[in-house]
Amino acid sequence: MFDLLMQGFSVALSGLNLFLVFIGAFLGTVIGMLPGIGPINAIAILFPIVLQFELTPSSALIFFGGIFYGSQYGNSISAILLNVPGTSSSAVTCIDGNPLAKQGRAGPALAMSAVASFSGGVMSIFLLIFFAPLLAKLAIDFGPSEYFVLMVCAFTALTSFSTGSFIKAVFSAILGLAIATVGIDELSFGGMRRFIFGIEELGDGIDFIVVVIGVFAVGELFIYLSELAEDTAQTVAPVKKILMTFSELKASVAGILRSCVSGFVVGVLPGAGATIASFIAYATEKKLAGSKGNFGNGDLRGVAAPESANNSSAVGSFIPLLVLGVPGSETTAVMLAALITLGVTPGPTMLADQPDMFWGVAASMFLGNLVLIVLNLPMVKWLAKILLIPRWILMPGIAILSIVGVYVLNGSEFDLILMLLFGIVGFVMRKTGFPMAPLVLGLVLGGLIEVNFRRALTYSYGDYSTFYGSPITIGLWVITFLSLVAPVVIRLIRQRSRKD
Amino acid sequence: MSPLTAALNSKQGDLVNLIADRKYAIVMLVLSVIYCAAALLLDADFNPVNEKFYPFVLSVLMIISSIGLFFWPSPHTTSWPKGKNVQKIGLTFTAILIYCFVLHTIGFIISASVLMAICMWVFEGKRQWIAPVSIVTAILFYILFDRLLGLNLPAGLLNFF
Repeated sequence: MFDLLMQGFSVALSGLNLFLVFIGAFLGTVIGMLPGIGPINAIAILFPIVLQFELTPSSALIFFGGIFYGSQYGNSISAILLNVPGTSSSAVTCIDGNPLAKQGRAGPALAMSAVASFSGGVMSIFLLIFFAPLLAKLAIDFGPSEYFVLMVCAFTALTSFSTGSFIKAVFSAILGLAIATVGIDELSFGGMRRFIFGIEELGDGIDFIVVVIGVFAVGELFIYLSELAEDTAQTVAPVKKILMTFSELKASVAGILRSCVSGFVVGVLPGAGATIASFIAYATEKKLAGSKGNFGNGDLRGVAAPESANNSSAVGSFIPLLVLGVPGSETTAVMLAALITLGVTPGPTMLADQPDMFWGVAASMFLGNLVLIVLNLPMVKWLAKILLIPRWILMPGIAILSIVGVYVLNGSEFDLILMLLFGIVGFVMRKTGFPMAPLVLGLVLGGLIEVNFRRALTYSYGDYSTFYGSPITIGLWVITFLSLVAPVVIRLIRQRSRKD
Repeated sequence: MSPLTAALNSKQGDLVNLIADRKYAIVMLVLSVIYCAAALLLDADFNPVNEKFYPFVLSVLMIISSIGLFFWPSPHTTSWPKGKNVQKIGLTFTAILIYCFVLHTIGFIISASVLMAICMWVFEGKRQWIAPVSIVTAILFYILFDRLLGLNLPAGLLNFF
């Protein structure tokens, strides 16, 4: 394993990749800080540039990975200083981070967030390089039917753990799968075009970037506009001394460790992701501290726990993406779509066949976290100045940037119109309580799920028992069932403990 | 607690929301039926390995979940935008739509600065800053994408630039 990691470092340290780690980490921090743009739309906007420079899949993944975990660092800066989370995964960081800033202790809060992010990030990389090869060995025998069931399992977990109505989440997912069926069917003889309703431009299918930017950038813009109040002037808390005391750090160490492990597990599971990881970590630490804690009024441990957890879960979410090729969250789904476009379909054989890819990415994460701690500790004072850009420049600017991203992809006006339509769809769906994550995952996995479904049935001559005949598929169905039951059981336990 | 008793026990506001979910369910059902019909009209055999069967299965699942939502609506709060905010969304939507159609003819710099200016006005930016900031942003994006990154943006009327 050590040799492989060294090989990975030789990939990550090559000139271009080192540059990409640095840029990715920096952009990630900025994107994480800014409201209205998160890693998911950032990756979509930057994808045409990746195509233009013909980056290799591993370089692209190193770059996108940097943006993803970098954003987990940045989002706490705005959570602490503005009381507005940059992305939802630091929503809990506001609870204790902002009171600290209001007490004039923004510096220690930022320092704690950076240290916790770094510890959570680095420790979880060790977990990643330890568990990924084990899981890959387990998954090496996967055929089309196993893949199909695995994806059904991922969707079930995603929908059953999503907040709000389960039925709406299911509909969202299937709508995503249905959108993916538009265009050429690669399996049929001669490539039959489906569901294009006479519109020639739909023949090649709907690009994931068009949907992602439509839903997450244009839709987000409309959401902002619909909730825009008269006066949204915000005050950025001043940052004085950066470091916290040693005893404060010591008090948080245990929480950082616990949150790292729980965050990692949550990150690996499909459907959960960084937001839920940070919530679980915060709730755990609050409960453990009991009456001794000052949670809710500015406790540094309340900043440390969620920041360790969300970084660790970001790293953890690379396991299903790279080892199984089945992402569990929106952002990793977009990364998968990017990889597929670049000609790589990740899966269990990738670790053996293309070790450079997995180990290069893992090694780049160590480097990225080093860059990030430098950006987020000594340089956070200057970075925080970005928050001074008024919202009326920021939001239109992000909108224009997103629209440029869609256009340069194919240079097509039709894509722009489609993007606008998906903006409306995203706006309406979010307003009416349909979650977006299943839609994106459905869109990205749609092609793979159909191919595996039809291939499995071709291999078995139409015998459906291929989907439940092998030990692996049975195991996956059991997990699927458990993920359906788990939220109900958790709710019942909670209700009972409330009664006591 | 069954959905029915939940609805009976809930306040008026929740009831309204349950009705809202029923409306969405009907919209979902219409969409699902259209998709189902389109799947059935595909020119292929009804064989599981063909391109017709899989979308048909999807459409059936969509129909089932639409009916499911109709009978098990979930209480939630939808706050639709009101008054001024509707106008703002409408204006932004129209501006982006016009941008889509005029981009090729009049070029990126002009259309993007106008779109940016409209968005900034909608976000209640400071009047005197709107024109300079939007023009500078559009030019910067043009230089960045077209000149530095080599991703072509239409020059349009300003093709001497």
